[in-house]
Amino acid sequence: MKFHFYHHRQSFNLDMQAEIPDHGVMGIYGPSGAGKSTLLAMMAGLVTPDAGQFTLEGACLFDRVKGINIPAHQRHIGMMFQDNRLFPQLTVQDNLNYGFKLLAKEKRRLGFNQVVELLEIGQLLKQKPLQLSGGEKQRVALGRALLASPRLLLLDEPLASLDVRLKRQILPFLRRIKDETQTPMVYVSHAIDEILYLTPKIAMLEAGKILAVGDFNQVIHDERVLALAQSLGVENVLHTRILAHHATLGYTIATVGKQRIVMPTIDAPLGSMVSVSIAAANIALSTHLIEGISIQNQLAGTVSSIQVVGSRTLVSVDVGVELMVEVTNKALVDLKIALGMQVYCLTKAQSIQPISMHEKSSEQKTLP
Amino acid sequence: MHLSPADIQAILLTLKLASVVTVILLLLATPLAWWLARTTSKGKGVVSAVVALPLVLPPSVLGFYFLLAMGPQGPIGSLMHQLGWQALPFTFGGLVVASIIYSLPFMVQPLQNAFEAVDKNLLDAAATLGASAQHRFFTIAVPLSRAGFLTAIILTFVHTIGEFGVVLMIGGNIPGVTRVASVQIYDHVEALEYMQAHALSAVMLVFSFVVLLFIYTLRPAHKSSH
Repeated sequence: MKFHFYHHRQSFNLDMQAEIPDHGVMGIYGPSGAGKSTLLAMMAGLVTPDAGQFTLEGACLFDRVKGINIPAHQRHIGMMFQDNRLFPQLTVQDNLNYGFKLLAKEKRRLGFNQVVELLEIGQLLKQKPLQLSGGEKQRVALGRALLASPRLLLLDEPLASLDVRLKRQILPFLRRIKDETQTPMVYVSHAIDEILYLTPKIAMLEAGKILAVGDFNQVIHDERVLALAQSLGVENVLHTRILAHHATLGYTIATVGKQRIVMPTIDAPLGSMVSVSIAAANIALSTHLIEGISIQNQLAGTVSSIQVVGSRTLVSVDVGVELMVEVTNKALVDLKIALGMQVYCLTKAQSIQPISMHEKSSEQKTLP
Repeated sequence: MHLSPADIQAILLTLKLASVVTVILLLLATPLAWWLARTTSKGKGVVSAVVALPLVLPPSVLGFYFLLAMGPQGPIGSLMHQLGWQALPFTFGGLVVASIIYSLPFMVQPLQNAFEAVDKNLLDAAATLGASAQHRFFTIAVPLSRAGFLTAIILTFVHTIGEFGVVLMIGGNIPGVTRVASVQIYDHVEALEYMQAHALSAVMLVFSFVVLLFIYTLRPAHKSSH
């Protein structure tokens, strides 16, 4: 997919240009007012840019100069919105069928039952949207968009209206969609951990511009990206495997690479994969293992990059996976931190937050 | 108190006129109301004002202009003459045309209000699911505007039944052709047949009240159902 959009509205100027692969998930990250939703609306054909071009899978969908502007309903670009936008007068089943029935049978890439099972919404089919909980509505909205067999699925902050508990329930569904339907997605969020849970690929937006596109671990070294990420909070997302639960003391042990981490009890079976996030600002560095300390996690690793941004420094540490640690410039000098140095990353168990719950690995569930 | 055959004929003619006008207006006013509800065009103000004119003009003024326009020298009348069609004044067709204009705001305005209340975001969502503008209108906008359609249809029907001035000007007073109930009541009063006038008036009063009662008691229930 390749796009270049210009759009001017009152004081807001949008000028965005990028070329991204027509497969996998692309995260779009930026503060509110950066133009994330407008970008998606222009891709979907709901907002007409003042100028520019948009090509998807080699087909031109918009070209101002050539006078091409394929209407939204002919683009086969699905969209899931923050406010579910389910049709209130229709049952869940009719909502799901809305786009599905408009599609010729040979063009349907997913079966109705397949999507209903994938999203576990079989019990809801006879209900009206008003009767559903927030999480159920979003699952139905996702199913409705998928059943229209989009060649690209745009997700506009689909979890922003949900509380943390519901977010953790829905995120694994999004990953299943990604793994099992192979639908390319563009995922907009101002929560970096949501994006990193789904994909390392990210486009950073600010004030109507794309600052950088690429793997998060790479683009974060761009100073402007880092400054932006830091203002919003840099998060690490780790994919961990549950090793043990300690019920009476209320903690769970999981593995990250070859190391172990301790976190508050997570409701997940032994051996299952759970993604957790740790804010870079909640990790401290030490040059040696400290004994007699209440902090539960001390992950050993080597410093792989050091970057100073204003009064703070972002240190990347390879602990088996890359961990970003935010320290003061003074700490950097005091500890004489240098590339290749052996350090310990200290973080309290309470600083580790699960992102997803009950994650089913793709191997366990295969679709017909 | 009883209704004479002439009274019955007038009532049936009235119902026929109201039905024909309501059906035609439904077809004409729906796209007009949709356009008014969605457009950002500068012409919207002018069109809205023209649509609302019959609300404020005395029916006799409307009837007078219809008569001029439809008469042999009028633009519509001379066009119809060239096409070899029958002139409209003093015919049922003329009554229908005049009533359509006269009742236009009663169909357009409730529909426009209902259409304006339809969330544009839902129409956008439908577009991303592959629905064309026409399909979006019939599957999203119309079902969500059910209450507006009900109100518009009933108001148009009742208002057409109640018209008098326009009918008298354009339709005259021909039994079975243009003599509707309101004109028949006028005739009874002129002839000092107060009992007859009373009977027919009572039928109109009760009918109108029942219909309005239906709107005002049923509508809130319709609204809360979606």
